[in-house]
Amino acid sequence: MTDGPLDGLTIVELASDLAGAAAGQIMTDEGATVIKIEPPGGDPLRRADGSRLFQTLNRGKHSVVLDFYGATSVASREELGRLLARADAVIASWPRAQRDAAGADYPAVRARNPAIVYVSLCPFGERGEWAERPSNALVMQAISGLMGAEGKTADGVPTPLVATDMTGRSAGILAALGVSAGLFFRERTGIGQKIDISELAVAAFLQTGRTAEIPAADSRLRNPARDNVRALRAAGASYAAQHAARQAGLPIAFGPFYRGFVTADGAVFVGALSRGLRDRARRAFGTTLLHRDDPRWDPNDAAFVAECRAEEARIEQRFRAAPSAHWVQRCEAENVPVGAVAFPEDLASSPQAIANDYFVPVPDDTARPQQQAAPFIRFGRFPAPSPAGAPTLGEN
Amino acid sequence: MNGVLEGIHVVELSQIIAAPVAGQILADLGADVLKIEPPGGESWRLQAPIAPTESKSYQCLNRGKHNLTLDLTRPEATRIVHRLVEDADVVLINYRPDVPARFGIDWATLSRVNPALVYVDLTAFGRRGPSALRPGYDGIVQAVSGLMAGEGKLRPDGAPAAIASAAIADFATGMVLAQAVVTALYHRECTGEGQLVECSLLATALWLQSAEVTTPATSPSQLAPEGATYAELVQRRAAAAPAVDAHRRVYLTSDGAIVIAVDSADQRRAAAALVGTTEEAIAARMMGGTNDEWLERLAATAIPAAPVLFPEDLSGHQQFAANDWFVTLEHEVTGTQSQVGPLLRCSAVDAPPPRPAPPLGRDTDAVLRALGYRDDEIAHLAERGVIGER
Repeated sequence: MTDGPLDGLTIVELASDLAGAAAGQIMTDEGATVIKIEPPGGDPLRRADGSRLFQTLNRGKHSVVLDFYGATSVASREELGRLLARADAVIASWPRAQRDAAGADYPAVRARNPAIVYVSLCPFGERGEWAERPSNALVMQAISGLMGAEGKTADGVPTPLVATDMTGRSAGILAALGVSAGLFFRERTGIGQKIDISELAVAAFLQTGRTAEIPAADSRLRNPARDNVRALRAAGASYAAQHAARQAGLPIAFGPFYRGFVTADGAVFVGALSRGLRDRARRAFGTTLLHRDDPRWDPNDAAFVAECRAEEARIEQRFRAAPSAHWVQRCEAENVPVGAVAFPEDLASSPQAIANDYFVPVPDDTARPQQQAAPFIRFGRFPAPSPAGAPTLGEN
Repeated sequence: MNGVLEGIHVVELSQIIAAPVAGQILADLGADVLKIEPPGGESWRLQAPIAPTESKSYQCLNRGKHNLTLDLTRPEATRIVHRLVEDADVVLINYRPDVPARFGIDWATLSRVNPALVYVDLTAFGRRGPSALRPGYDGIVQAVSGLMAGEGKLRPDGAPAAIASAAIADFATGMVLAQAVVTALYHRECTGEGQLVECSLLATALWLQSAEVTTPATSPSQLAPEGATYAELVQRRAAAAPAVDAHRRVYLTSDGAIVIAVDSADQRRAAAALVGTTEEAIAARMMGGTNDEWLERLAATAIPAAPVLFPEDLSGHQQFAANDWFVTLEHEVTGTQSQVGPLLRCSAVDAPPPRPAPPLGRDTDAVLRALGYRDDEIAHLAERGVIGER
């Protein structure tokens, strides 16, 4: 357990998904005691992918095994009831039927512990046709529009995002916020409550620039493209046709000033988003290409576009001819935002991560320390946290 | 009461995405959030503007706030901030690490003004290290944190392409900042103590990839021959990932695309019975029906499945209507709009009614009058450029 602002608080975690587990992890990183209730076979993530994900998401927690469906179901419900009666908060992301089977729906919990903070994660919300449907990261990526918007395909078939479970982790952070907000309110008033969060709504907010509708901004490109896609669907057109129609509604993004470049020994990303920054990038790249700053700028003029692309190809060649360090130095000398592209596996040895103590040793289940990403909030009143390892199944 | 944070005053000195997201979440929870911007407005107002100092991006990330324009390079502006901080609960700030002290708005200075202050500070890459003073745009953070290479998108020339569907490091960090503020407020409620709280885009980005960055780990450069290109490293890394599962992937239908993603042996049996066992067989079967037909069949089973939609589809989706997640607002300058509303629903209190983002400088006069400035003093500050738009 770590010493932190939530020291002394007990939180019961009823989660077999990533969002609930992530919320519980943020709570242990902040000093709370988190009791994760697992089924007899253990949390599903224990079995997946060498369980690095399980180990990082569940560091510092306690594990209690309860079985609400078998021979010990009555005793299990009683045990959970006792834990909930003493808890300060609950993170509940089990499906409704599972909460009911465990006697862990909010009315039942509140009856025994009226001041409890009950944070409820329902992936599709509490109402509507999808409310009881099963969710997971792939399903959420698809229905939320993230996968379609990312536009990765293999042979014309959409493929998922893989770098991180954006919506699961974001919902987890907000659930942790819900616990803290409920605790703050309770400290002021003595009153507990239920706080609801839906991963699908969170996903819509992550893409608010695309999901929001502001006619002054959207009437020229976004809305006509949206209407075209609808018309194509109504006519039974293919996914490929719909995707192409959507692309037509996006601002054109080409040019050498906000993109990645291959270098002699890796890759860099340059981000010049204003006229001033683009002028400095021109000096760094050794180009006079004006691109969108050219008074002749016209993305529909094929000859103009071809001219721009030809110069961009020459810039690409220049990048390939020198190492990443050379280009980072050139861009930094001109104050152009730039970064060398790193692989996740290399971050623990990056000077920037080391200088800021962004990795912390955590025992794994063989008591050999791993270096894990450190708790992402540093509270000045408390020493830097040193998280304990993830629990073995039912160890508490 | 209006929200669990009713009565909490937040002074927000922020720009672009992450810290503004935090301020908006706090406003949605009932806090009084005052965003301080330079004359001319913060840069996100100028991102694809729809009116001189209004953009869609700004209006979706600054809902419910008040707005004051100050030129922080002027000592009188610093005094105004100090007066605001005397009565504030929270300062939420994102600047390069060396900047706040120059303006007299660093933690050391403001905690002397208000010892119970919760001061939540965001930097791009952390306060120390070779990149501490570097600008942290989303693409740069993606690059240096591993997110870009982890996603593995390649341009036609083999160069890295950024994740495009969401500025995830920025948005997740905004949520982290809000959680940091409220947790520190909880601590203060228990102890009376304020504190300095620090977050960074990089720290959040590492957490987003918590499994992938954990060591010991094999660097892709160790999997490939000396001198391998970026694209080759990406491909080596992808080859080490599990092979595609026929029952956990997207299939095209005659008029769309559907993801089937089983999580159990039972679900896999049901999927095999409904659509088949091999990718080729399933693909052929799915192409023989429409999205609606297949979704109806799948909905009658326990198989996790969903259509591949676009974000523009969500506001018209029945699940969003059923749960009232969109709010319709009237913006003073650009008129009617609809956007995703508050993300936390709290049972103990009414939520504050959502309000649109503030036009630039709308509340400058009101804020200064509330501090005790007379109208002639305010006019004088404006003439001298200490305050900007009003």
